[in-house]
Amino acid sequence: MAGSPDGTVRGGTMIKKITRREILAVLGTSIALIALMIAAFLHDSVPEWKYYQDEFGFIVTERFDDVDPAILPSGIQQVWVSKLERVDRCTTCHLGTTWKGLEEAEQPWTTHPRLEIFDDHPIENFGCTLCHGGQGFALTEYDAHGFVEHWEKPLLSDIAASDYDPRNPPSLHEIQCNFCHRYERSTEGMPAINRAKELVRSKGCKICHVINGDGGKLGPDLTHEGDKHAEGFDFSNLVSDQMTVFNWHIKHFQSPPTIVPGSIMPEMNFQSFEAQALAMLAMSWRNDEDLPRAYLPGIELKDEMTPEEIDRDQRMRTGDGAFFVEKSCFVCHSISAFDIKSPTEKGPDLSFAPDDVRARFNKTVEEFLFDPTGTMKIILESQIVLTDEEKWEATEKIMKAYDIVKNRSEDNEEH
Amino acid sequence: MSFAGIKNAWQNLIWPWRPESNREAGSGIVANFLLHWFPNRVSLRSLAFSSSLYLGTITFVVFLVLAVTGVVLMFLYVPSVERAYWSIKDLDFAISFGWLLRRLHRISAHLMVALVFLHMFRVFLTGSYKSGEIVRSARPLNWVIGVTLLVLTLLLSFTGYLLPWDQLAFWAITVGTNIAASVPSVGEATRQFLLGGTIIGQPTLIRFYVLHCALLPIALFGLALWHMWRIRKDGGLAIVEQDRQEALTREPATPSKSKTYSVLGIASGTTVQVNDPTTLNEDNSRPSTPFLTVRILLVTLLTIAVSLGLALVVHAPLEAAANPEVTPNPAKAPWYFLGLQEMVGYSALMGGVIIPTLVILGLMLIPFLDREQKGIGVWFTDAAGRNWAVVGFLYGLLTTAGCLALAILAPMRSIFPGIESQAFFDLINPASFLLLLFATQYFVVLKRTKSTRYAAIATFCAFIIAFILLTYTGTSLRGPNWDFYWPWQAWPAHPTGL
Repeated sequence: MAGSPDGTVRGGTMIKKITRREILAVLGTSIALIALMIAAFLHDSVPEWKYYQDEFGFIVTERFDDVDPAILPSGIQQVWVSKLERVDRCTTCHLGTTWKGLEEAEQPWTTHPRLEIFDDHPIENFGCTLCHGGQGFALTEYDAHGFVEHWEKPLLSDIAASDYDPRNPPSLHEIQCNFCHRYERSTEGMPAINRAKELVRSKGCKICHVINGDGGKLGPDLTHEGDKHAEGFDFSNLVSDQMTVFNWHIKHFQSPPTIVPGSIMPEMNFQSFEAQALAMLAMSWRNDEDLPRAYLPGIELKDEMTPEEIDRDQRMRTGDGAFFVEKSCFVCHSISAFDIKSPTEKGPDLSFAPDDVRARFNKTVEEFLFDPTGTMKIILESQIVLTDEEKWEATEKIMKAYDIVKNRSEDNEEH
Repeated sequence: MSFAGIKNAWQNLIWPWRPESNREAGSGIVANFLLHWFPNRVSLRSLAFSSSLYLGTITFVVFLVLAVTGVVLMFLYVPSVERAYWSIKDLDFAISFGWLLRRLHRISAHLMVALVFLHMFRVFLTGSYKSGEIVRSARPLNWVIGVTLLVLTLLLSFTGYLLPWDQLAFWAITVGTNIAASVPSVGEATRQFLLGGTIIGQPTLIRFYVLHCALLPIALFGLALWHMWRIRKDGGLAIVEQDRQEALTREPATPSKSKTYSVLGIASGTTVQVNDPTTLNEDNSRPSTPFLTVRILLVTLLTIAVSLGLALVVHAPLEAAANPEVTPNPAKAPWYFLGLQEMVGYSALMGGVIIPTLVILGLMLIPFLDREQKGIGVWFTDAAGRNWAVVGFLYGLLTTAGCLALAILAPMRSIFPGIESQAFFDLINPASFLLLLFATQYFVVLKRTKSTRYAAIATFCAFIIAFILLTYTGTSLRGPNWDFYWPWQAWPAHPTGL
């Protein structure tokens, strides 16, 4: 039997006290526990991003005289784009992203290299990782840039791209651009994808492949090619250290039968830039069912119209009477001279306005527009507010319409 | 307010009860749960580290750590397929001490599974499931409660495994529930009942969540209390049977002159000398307070310190978000099921259904099969038992390694290429051989020694080593396509997107 707690037996009676050893063990363990708690506390309370935020304060006070460092963002910053179910905390460290005047600062404090991109892509609607990749949740550089196990969308930086071409790294972020811009023929700022789209058209890829719902059936449907997981590719014929989907596509575009023995896809002798561009395009073709349609440029949703209606609509919007359509005058007034038909016809045809205004208000059209009475007074003051130039333009166009109808009626009388 | 007034107010706040009489004070103590947690005196043998290794206490402390961290996690975790994964990411990155909570909960969960196994091994090897001859205790019942607690612990761990909703979780539960599906005729229905559908989805997540956070912990907590209360009712740890044996062999103290109190008054004569085996005396026991309480405090502090220390060092992994379209290769169940998954590779019916059922049944029946009452509370009973343990251990090592070698080098289907029948391979496979070998071992040792205890020791030791070897093989030696890889052999590289 392994000893009594006090370990000593003297003449049959045992010491009835807790041994010093046991009390020391309790004390030692308590101290160890407290030390571990302090370690945990320190680990939690001194995160990496606090350093970057402090440095940003210095950088800003150095370069801007009128900025009070106290108003700078502090604590975890995040962009939550609820429509995309996306949280990006990149701006916790990348504090200068939307600041003008920090172009020369180092990462992570520098201004975005293309500040104008935020005009069309406001950060609060797009976040960061939708375009750049990376792990938006994370708050340490290593995790956030996403070159970690089990994070499949790392930062699409030149660092990642230089693995493929150190001198001329492919602009991998265009893969992300084209997730939304895929239906556009060509898009500003996406040279590689634009070139690839041109190749898809000129080489006739759709003869054999369905892309975006239309094409031939000889090859596989490529509409959702970008969603295919790395595990779904056969790398056995790829002689390379880089077992990546991107590399697979590049090599496959350069020589399809080498990568997929027996493939009947023709070799097109693509240059490496072209093969890279095509690989990026293929990887950008992802299922966009969950993407809110506001994010897809060029997608217009409107009621179905007959060809005649489309034609008429076009003529009304671009013809001589476009002014009255644009200013919504046509809601109440037809202008028969310009073939504009009001859906309501609440007011008189503006083609006869000079006679009409003279008869009812004893004014010229110009006088009436600058000094209207009745219903038109209310409308021109609140609903359709015109500048003086626009009033002259309206007068001019009404007179033109008047001439047209006058000529027409004279013609009719002659015949 | 005077000092006395403040003192009075303070006392009313912390301990408002003022007994009116000694009798009321006495019955108050009798009625107090906390004062009944430990007996008045505790045997020195019980107190010794070597007799129990305090594994049960440690397991319960780990359970308490899990309960506390789990309740806090419930405030932060969202059990929906859209949000679950992201709420874990938030825990890891943005929530103060979220990373620590999650790591502590995870490491404690793995520790608890390991500890209940170790505790069971200890209780078996010290023969502590036996009722004893002097005072017939209900320890066999407590052993059965213990096996139930083991099953509940596995279920708790298994249900918690799904909650992070990453690839690891999704596919571990897929593999785990597929094992359940291999039961003939009712398997598929059981699987659908567990999943709430044919694949893992929102119904599965909410089922597992409620089971994990409410039903199973309450059941486990209630049973654990019963388990511990039974130890009191059975007279303490099984090792006190040794104290009772000693008390029986002790010479009764010589009668001495004394006064006794009878109904009629003081009567003179000699004291009645009774050898009461249940009574602990000054020599072989200590007051529970402070000797046992300080020991429990030490064990509790150590357990928490070790869990916390491990949590600071061991990261909790989180793989890619669950994706039913992409099966990781290999897809593995939680580690404690990987021994089963290894055998499922030979035959789903044998490895996934028959053997686990037999193991659970066999474990529960141990105290009713082995009814010998010697060496209770003593490791391996005696020297002969220790020898049988070594024999069982070596036999288990050889037979398990042999069956693994057979499975890896010469799969049954390559030995019998002409046979198509699944029933044949369900019957003839390495897992069945192992089962047969262990059963044979039990009866051979029983025949030689005429002792159920020695036969049980030999078989149990073989079972322990088989469990460890199979689990290790499934965990570390099985790679993509469930192919065999030595620890020094690299797995084929995983392709990535970029």
